[in-house]
Amino acid sequence: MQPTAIIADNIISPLGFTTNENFRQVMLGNSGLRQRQLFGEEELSCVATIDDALIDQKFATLDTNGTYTKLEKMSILSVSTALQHTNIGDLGSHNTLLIYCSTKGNIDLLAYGTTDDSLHQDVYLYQLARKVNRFFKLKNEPIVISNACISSLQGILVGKRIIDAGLYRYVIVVGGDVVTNFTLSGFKSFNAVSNQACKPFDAQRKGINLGEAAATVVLGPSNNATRQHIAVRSGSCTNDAHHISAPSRNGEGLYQAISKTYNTLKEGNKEQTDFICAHGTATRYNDEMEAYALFRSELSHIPVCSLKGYFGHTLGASGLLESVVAAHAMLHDQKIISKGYREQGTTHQLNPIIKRTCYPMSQFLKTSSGFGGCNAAVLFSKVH
Amino acid sequence: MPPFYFLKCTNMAGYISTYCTVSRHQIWVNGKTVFEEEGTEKEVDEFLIAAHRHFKIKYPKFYKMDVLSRLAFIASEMLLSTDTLKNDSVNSQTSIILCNRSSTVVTDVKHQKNIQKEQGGIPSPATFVYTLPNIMIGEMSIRHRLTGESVLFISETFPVNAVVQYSNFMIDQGICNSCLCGWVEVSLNYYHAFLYVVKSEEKLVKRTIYPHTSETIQKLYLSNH
Amino acid sequence: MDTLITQLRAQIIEHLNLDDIQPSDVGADDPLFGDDGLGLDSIDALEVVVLLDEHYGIKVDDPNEINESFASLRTLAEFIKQNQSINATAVTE
Repeated sequence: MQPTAIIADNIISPLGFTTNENFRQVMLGNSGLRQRQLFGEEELSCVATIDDALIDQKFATLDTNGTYTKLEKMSILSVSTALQHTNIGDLGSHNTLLIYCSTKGNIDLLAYGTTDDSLHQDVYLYQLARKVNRFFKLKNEPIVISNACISSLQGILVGKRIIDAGLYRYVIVVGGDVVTNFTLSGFKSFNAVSNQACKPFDAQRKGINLGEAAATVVLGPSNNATRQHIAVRSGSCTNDAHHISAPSRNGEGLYQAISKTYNTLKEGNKEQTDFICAHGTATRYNDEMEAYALFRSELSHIPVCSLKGYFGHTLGASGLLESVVAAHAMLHDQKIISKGYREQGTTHQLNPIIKRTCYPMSQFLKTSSGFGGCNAAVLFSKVH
Repeated sequence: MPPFYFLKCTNMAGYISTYCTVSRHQIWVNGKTVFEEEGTEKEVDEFLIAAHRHFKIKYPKFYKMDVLSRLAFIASEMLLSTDTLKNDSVNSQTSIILCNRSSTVVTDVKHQKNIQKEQGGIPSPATFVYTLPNIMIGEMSIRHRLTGESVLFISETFPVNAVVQYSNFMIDQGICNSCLCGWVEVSLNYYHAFLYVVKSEEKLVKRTIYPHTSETIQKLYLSNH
Repeated sequence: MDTLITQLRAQIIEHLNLDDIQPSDVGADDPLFGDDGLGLDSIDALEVVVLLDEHYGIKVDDPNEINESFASLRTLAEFIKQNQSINATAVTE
């Protein structure tokens, strides 16, 4: 059976409106993080946000009559651009499914009303997903996954399983979240936010920066070839069963997710992993836990990077967005510098990438973790 | 828009070993009433606290939970024996699939009001953490030491076919050998929980009530609704 | 000091939703955090920071730096006395 592959992808972020543009900016070492005054606060926040006017300008080129929120426009633009690179026939036929992944969707609409009468319908995630679905005239009700920061990495895993089970031929997985007063104030109440550019795995790290993005992968059979594909080889998710906001101290959940990911591989092994695209949020606890889990998995020596220094933490979009960037790095045999890292800051030593190198690569591991104790790991490789 | 369905049914992989409904201030387990409170004018929080006391659960963390996590907790407490605390290999083999319509809207509103307060409201971290719907899965996982796979689907109505087929798929593939599935919904003026445990045939101690099919789940979900 | 401790005890029980705890269960020197004491966790620590701001006008930038002050009701009361701003809403004596 041919592996399920990423046959097309797209990223909409402050670094660009195509995957190629985003990848190019990352290779140049550019970050989408800026100091901005947000939500009527005096203090500046370090965030990676996309200019509303730019989104509107790009969206105006699509044929549309309706009213869409910023996140809906980003999501539709992302899917639209990704689909341009496929030769999938009639989307309205019954063999395509949309999976939408987000933590809070259009939660900023709560500012308009919080009572039963005044609550905006688009606050509901299934409404957001349906609007995207309807735009592309997809016939099947979309799936919506809301599982904290592992949402869209898990979306890729669920999509792959659905295709492997023969239930659909194509699955479009979208991850999206925007920077809102709701989430920024919430993370600040956890003392989890840094007002400088984040430093994943670094000794001086002080917390996350929020970012916004929409990213898409189209999953399908790998013989649908318009370019070299990326196979989704295996994956797993677990729960720490430890605490609702703090990760397990010995990284048990993530360690188990990584173990199961490699154990369920039909061919190949852990040693063939060329690099790891980690979650690396730059909080003291996450990075420490992740380093421990990688150590226990005997993967500490594998070159590792976090992309949060380029995009900020894009919450529901993070797993998928970062997988796409990492996949393109693999396709180009380019290692990505783990931006923000200078000096070892975790008890267990990792091997963060500090120099751009060209190196033949064929396999990488993506990890994610989130509030609620959830963890996910997925292995990707070049399709030969 | 047609109701959500997968195109082809996977083979039936399991049997429903136990199920529970919490709704309209009543709790049913395997079709029988096990607790009820008079008067539906009571807030859902009060009802859930009363249930917690009635069943002598004695879990202090319960009081820190928001209403969605409390509802999920009470419903799962009816189904999962505390014997599961003793066997880590069993608990890593149990998956969780929960769904709801409104995510965490009640707590979202609470957090929104906190940040809108005139004097530059101080947001509460204990409120904010519960604005993710998967936290209720986290709470169940901590209580029963469930370390397997879990996922949270948002859907306007309980996506019976998707849940049945995805859980059957996971059992069939050996990703898990039992699955806690269901619908846990709290909106601004309504609540309803329906949870069940499906096990692979090998894991059943005795032949139980129902095979795990969409028709059966739909019927059980609607009974006592 | 005793009045402050009594007041603080009630505020913590209410603010942290410790519904099943009676004030008599929490001694002035009992450990607040960890398995041996009241069993408060990292989120509770952050909530205590919110409480200090709301009721006593004290702003704490990094809770990790004042771990010792959070050890018990008495150490917390001492911390409040040392740091309370003049404009605090709750006057304690």
